[in-house]
Amino acid sequence: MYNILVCDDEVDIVSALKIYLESEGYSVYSAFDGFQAIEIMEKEDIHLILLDIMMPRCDGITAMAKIRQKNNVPVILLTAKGEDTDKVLGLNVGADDYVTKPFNPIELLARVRSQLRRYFSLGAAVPSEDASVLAVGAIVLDDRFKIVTVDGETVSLTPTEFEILKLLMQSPGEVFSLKRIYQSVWNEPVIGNEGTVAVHIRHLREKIEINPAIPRYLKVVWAHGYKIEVEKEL
Amino acid sequence: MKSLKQNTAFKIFMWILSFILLAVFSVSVIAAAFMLDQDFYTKTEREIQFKAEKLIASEINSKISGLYETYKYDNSESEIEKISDTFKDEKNWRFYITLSDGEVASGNYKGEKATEYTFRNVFYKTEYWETGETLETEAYNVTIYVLEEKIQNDRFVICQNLISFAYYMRYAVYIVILVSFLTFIALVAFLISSAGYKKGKQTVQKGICERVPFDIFTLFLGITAFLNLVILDICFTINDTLAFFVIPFLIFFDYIHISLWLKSMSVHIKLGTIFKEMICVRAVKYVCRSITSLLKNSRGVAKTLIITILPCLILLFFILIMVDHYLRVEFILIWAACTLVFVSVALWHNYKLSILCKATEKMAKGELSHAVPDSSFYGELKYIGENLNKINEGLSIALNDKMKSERFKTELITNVSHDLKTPLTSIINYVDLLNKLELDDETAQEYIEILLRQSARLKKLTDDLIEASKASTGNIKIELSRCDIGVLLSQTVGEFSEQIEKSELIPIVSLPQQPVFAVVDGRRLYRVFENLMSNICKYSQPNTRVYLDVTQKNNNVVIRFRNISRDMLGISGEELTERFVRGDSSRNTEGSGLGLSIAKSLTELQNGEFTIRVDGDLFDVTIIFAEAEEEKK
Repeated sequence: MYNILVCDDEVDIVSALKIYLESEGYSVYSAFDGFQAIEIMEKEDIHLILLDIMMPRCDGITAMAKIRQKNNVPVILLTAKGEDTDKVLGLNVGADDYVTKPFNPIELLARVRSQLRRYFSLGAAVPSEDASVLAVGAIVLDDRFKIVTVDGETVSLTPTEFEILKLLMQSPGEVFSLKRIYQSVWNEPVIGNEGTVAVHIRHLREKIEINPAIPRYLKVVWAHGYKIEVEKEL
Repeated sequence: MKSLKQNTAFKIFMWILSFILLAVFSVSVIAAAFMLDQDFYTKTEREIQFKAEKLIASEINSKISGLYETYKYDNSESEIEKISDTFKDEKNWRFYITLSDGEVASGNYKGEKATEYTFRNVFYKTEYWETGETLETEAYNVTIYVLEEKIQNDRFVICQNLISFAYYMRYAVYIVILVSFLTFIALVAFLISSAGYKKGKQTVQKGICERVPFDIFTLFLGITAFLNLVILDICFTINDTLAFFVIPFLIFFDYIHISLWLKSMSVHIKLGTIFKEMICVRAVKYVCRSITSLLKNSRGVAKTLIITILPCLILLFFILIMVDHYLRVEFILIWAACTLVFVSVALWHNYKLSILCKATEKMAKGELSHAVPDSSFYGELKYIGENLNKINEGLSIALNDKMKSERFKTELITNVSHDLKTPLTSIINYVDLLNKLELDDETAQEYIEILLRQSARLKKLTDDLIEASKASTGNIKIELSRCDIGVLLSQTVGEFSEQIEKSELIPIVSLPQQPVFAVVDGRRLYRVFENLMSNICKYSQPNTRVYLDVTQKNNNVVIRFRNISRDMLGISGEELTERFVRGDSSRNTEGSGLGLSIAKSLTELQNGEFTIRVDGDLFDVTIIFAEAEEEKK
């Protein structure tokens, strides 16, 4: 079973998280500031950390930097700020994911699950040399069997969605315009109907992202197109 | 070589050497010219010796004849003895006087072995010239015998020695000229190339001489040359010998001066500052700059010129008509001077006025940091300037206060929102946990659902509140880029496809044939579209059409969102963009009442125009951006 460290200065939030996580079968360790978190990290075998940023005595960023010197377990930041700069800072210092307060418990649990699966089940998996298998972050697309897995879980996609995802994954980071996606997936000339692409992308995002409004992989580049990218390169 | 170039003592030594070489060169050239003139290269040494002796002998002859004629005139006796007596100390030559008729022949020549030089003289007897008698002339010959065996060291001997030395050296002198000239050139080249190098410094350094602007230095040189001429003139008037002594000193000082001038020039050329640092170049540049800045910063220069020059021209016309022609030139000169002063003063005044204009312009634009520089004003302009500065100061203070309070407000909102979020998180979580307990009590379950809904609304409200406060105070980083507005609208509609379906709306999207671009922040503009679309989905009458257009009009990109409201809108478009104002007065539905306010603020932050028009049930939002120029590739 996985051990999860929850660190927040608000006791109520820690206990709520404890209830949620324990109901999912995780064992939970609680800490109420950065120093306690570091202490527990040294003593216990922790598999994942939920870390608040704004805490008295020792804030989350400092604590994470300390923990990262020795340990590589996934860290999900809890932040009340929600500012882009805070997110970028957190991810740059070594966080794997972040959740803005007030968070949706279901989303949080999904992210925890995703991080654990990625770290412990897929972490050791060597990416296939096979050209028909594409992988970006936790998304793996197998072209032969037409299977897409996210965090190791199979996602069922329509053929159009599959083709769009394949096109984007072939060139991670590149921005594809609606026209280009339409032309390559539908194999038809564009007659002002590329708007359908946006609908398909939306559906695709709902299937492969935990929170479609804040996508981790399938990003919208507003007024230009879409791209697939790993969160850390935000 | 480098260390030699940096060695000052060595350079001074080289300089002295160069001066000596120049002297040798000059003397040699003069000597060569003299020898060429005196046929040293065509005649034998003996011939030249004779020529020189003859020259000296002729001088002696003139002395003797002078004496002879004096005695003759006085009719004194035994003149030959007296002449012999006069020259008794000069033993290298003898003389003999023969009258033309052979009457008297006498002298101190005693038949020694000698070279003889005979001169014919004519003696004019003018004894009775007052009475009108004709002049009597008497011719006589003086023969000078220069003894071959020189007894004493006189000028014959010196001359002889000099000539034989010169004759001996007559070809060698060319070599001396050549060698001294080449060495001199080499030394000068070395000195020029090493000018400016100093011990311990890698680059060319300026010395004292180079601090003097080069044109001033050149002027000094000219003055020195003129002074030289004056000094020489004075010396020659007083005494030739004095001049002979003064000339070397003059040459020496001039040589120092020229050397320093050359050094200065070479250092300036090496540093590339020869023209830049000239006083005259700087002066011209300064004048040009002043005039251009005067003209550039002045407005209405042409107007001022016309207003000032026109009356002057009329005056000139009258002068030409009314003034007699012999006074005309003076009048025109006075007129020209007056006009010049008049026009300059007018232009200057105009310039000062323009500065004031510019200052007011900047103030009008809101650049309050730009105060009027009132130091150089005078009279009324100074008064205006001072008053403007006072207005400026007052405005700045007021604006600062406003900014401060605005910032304080924003900070307050943000902080309060952050503080709200923490308890909100707990509320949401525990309500959710309560919900999971699946209580038997139906009423309790119903209450929990209300709590769930309302806590979700509270969350949305907090988020919107933060965003609205940031957007309205411009506290948001806007990253402008060239964006295809049509694509953005397509993407937005795609994002809302499900909600549109849920609200049973029929979207009619019309985009221009060619893509239209505007310089906006795509992410922020999506927030605008998102807010509008979510409003449309929330408040539209089901089964109606929603018109979403992007058009291009007068170099503008016009985006329109039109829908039919479900409820009656008893409110104007302007009021709707106020914070916390909502179309439905009951305020029962979800939403914070901030969506439109945020949309408007965000649009304005991207230099766009956001207007809402309410026409009956038609809700019409128009967003206008300036069209982006063609992308240059």
